[in-house]
Amino acid sequence: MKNILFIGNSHLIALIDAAKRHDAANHIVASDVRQESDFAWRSTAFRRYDFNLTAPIDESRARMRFVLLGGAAPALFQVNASGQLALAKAFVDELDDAAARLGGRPEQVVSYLNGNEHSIFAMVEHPVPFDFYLDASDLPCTAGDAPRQVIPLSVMRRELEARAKPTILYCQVLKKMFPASDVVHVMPPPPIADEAQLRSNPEIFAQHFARFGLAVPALRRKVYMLYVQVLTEALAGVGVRALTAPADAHADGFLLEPFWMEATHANHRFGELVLHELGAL
Amino acid sequence: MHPYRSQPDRAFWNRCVSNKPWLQVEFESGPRKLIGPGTKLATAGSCFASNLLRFLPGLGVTAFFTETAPSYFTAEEAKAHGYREFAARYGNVYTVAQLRQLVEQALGLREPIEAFAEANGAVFDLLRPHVRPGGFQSLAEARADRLYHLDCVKRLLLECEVFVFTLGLTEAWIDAPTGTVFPVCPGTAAGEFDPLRHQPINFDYPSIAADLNWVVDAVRAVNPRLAWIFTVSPVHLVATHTQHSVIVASTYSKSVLRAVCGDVERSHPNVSYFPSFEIFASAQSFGQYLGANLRDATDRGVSHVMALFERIFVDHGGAPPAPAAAPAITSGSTFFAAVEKAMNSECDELCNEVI
Repeated sequence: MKNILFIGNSHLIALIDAAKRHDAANHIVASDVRQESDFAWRSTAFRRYDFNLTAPIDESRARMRFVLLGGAAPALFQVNASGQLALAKAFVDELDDAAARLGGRPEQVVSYLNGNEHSIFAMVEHPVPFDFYLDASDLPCTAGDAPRQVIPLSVMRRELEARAKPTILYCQVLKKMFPASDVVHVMPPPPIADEAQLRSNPEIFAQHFARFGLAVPALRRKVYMLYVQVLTEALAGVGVRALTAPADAHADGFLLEPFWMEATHANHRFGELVLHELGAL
Repeated sequence: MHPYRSQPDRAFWNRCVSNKPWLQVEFESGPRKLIGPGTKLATAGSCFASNLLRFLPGLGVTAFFTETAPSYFTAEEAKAHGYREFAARYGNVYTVAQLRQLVEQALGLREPIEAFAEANGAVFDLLRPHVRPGGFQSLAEARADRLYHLDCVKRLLLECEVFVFTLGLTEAWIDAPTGTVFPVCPGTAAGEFDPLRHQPINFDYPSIAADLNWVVDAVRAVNPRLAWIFTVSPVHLVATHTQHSVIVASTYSKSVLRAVCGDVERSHPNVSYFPSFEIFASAQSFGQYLGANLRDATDRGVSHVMALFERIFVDHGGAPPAPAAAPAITSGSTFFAAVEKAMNSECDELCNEVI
């Protein structure tokens, strides 16, 4: 029996959905209770939810605890009364509580925190369209169009590192909290190439798409690849393993259609592949 | 009665220069108010031109940039990659021939010049050797960067209202087979010196005058409202490739450039000559605006120049000059904030739906 603690934001939903569906398919009696944590009860300022899904004990699979952070979840770091930066007690309590419900320290702690930094940066065409080159053999992201501003790779790396910093810090804290656990960070799904899919599921990006247009797929892929590379390197430095998107879910660097979920996310099928790769299913 | 009777005081040495503090010497021949707070003003030329740029906000004038770093660049990154130095990332344009070839490329009158050099796996743009520290990763990247740059220069030429160009040098190095003019000798900042290809040249009066007249005419054809202000850099050569002493070579260089400016000004109504060279380099200034090496221009001297520049060209509309707004030296800051906010909201929405 493998005990796994999951923590993440919106991308985690793909895994939760996968777990729910898998449970049903295998007649697993999951706790299936969305329990608002005590903390959430104590403070209306937070929308914190703890999904508890328990796999069958007799099949030696996994017990999984999901901690899904809502938009108003506290930051991991907060300034304490003496003006020092400190871990937010609410956050720590939540993780400790989830770990306790696994009967002790989890063998694996899986982060699916953040993950949209690359989309924030490159989903929408910039006011000054840009390009960059991943290496000496890289090609321009478009051919024949108006010239694009060329951003040095060093600047792109530094910018994406800065954007990934919160994720890196959070993962570093997870590793410190659970030093004996295999701490894994799951990379977000690759970009969706299809413009029709993005335009028909723009969520609140509609006005940005209308005003600036979508960034070309090749550019979004480049940014994603660099983001994954930068984050993987940084996580290795803090003892956290990076899990890249499952190979069956993408082709040519783009998320395949069966795995699409709106504009930037993946669905339960993607989540199932991830859970398989984690050894949870 | 003779013609000198009607000449103003500034026409007479004794009244204009002798026994006058240098700051009170009258250099101008009258105002020519070309510049207001919203005027699109660009500069190009030698180092002196970038010095001018620094002082413009103090005159209530916002410099015009068409090639700006995105807002996520740090100030150090922007500077290291050639942003904020001039309106576009052309770096120092020391010679008029360089200016001409830049305008020719930008306006599509000739193909972009293939002047790149590879060293230690990196590619350098020999026309702009300082725009990418350490070089580009590939020729494709270097070419793409140049194409974007030329597009920005084109927009600059089409939209600019006042262009201050500082003529710096007559000496240069060219690629003999193609005639391409380099800003610096290949092998110094980038590339490798090839004695068979890379030849020294000292542009003479006729060729410089022809090039400058060509530039003024070519740009007027696409932007008739553009006014030019020409200055001659007072900063002497750092080195000469001739056999003369550097100070003799410098004097030749500055004399030719000064003469060209005078003639081009006379033949074009949209050209003004601005005498910053005289303020710095006249013997009557006793070198008071020169740095310790007797070559560099001091800020005190640039301040004198800018005060005169303001008197002649800047129109405050009767009001005292207000500090100019920060120029648009980066792009996209509000864009990123808006997209980030939208993306965070999207994730929250998704969570809400599922929950």
